[in-house]
Amino acid sequence: MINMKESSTRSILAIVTIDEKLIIHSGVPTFLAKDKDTQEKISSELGRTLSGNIYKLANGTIIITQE
Amino acid sequence: MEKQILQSFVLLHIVLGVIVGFISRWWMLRGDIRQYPTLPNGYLINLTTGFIAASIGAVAYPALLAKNYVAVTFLTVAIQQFRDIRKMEKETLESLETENYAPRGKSYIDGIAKTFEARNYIVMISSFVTTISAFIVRSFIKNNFLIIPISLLIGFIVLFFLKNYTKGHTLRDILTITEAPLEFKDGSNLYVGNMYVMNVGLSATQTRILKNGIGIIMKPIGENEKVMLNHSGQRKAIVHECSRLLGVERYIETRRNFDNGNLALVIVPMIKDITRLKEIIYDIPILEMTKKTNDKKKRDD
Repeated sequence: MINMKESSTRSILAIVTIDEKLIIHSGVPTFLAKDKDTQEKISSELGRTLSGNIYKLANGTIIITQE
Repeated sequence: MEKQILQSFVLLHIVLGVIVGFISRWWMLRGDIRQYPTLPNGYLINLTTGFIAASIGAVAYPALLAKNYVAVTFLTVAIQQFRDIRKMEKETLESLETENYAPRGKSYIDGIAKTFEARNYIVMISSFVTTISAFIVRSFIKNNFLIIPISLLIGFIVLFFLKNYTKGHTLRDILTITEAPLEFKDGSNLYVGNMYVMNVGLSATQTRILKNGIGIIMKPIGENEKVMLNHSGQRKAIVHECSRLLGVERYIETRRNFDNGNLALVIVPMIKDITRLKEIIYDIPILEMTKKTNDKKKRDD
């Protein structure tokens, strides 16, 4: 979470959403969760596995970025 | 042949210089706690280089008196050595950056390395002045019981002056700190007071931050101080010192308010102590880099 890297840009590693309509086929792996609890659980597991940071957007979508 | 033998009073004056220099390095050693990962080794390195610096400073004047000008060139060799030590210190600290949860930053490392080098010069100057004053006093009074205390006193006065001169300022001089509540708005945006700091996606993490986190707002006291606080190196130094002395359980992040120049800091520390956190921040040195920025601004005005 510390913004101390030389580069200020970080890639999105994965996206977790509960709204199927928000999924657009792209290069980023996107996971569809059935409810909010599952969304958070998947995000947490993905965040730990990928050593990434987890952010939640205003539309409820969770993105996991590079640390 | 007799002229080649060191006279006892010359030896005494050199010893006086070495004593003052060595004690001065010992005295300044306290400030090194934050700079070394291993204290015993750090102490040994500093005391040894301090002793060498003191010896060089103490013998410079007697060497000149003996018309041994070649010996004086050792001063330049010593300066080169101290510069190498500074470079080595810089490289060591830079190589340790990846190990730190919050890196020091290049400006802070540069400041530490400069301090490390400058202390050797302080030692050298104070021992040089001690020896030279012993010779001067001797030209008026031949009594060793007066020469010793007078030259020691002059040496320590010079040391005290140089130590204060190189001391620099801390953040205590340029800002005030107020505690501010942590709050999540719009679901996942973390605010310290009314300042946005960061986005935290998971609700479990949000709960942890609200429970264990501390939020503070640093307010610079003037326009120039805003510039100082805005320096990226200065902010890295703040983050580093806070995380190093309190430990970081989870997050540490700063964010600047563009309107008023305030700096918000949020930390989830291992030791939750707001008073200690304030003291840590107040005691952080103002980096020389930020001072330069400030001076330039003054000139432009």
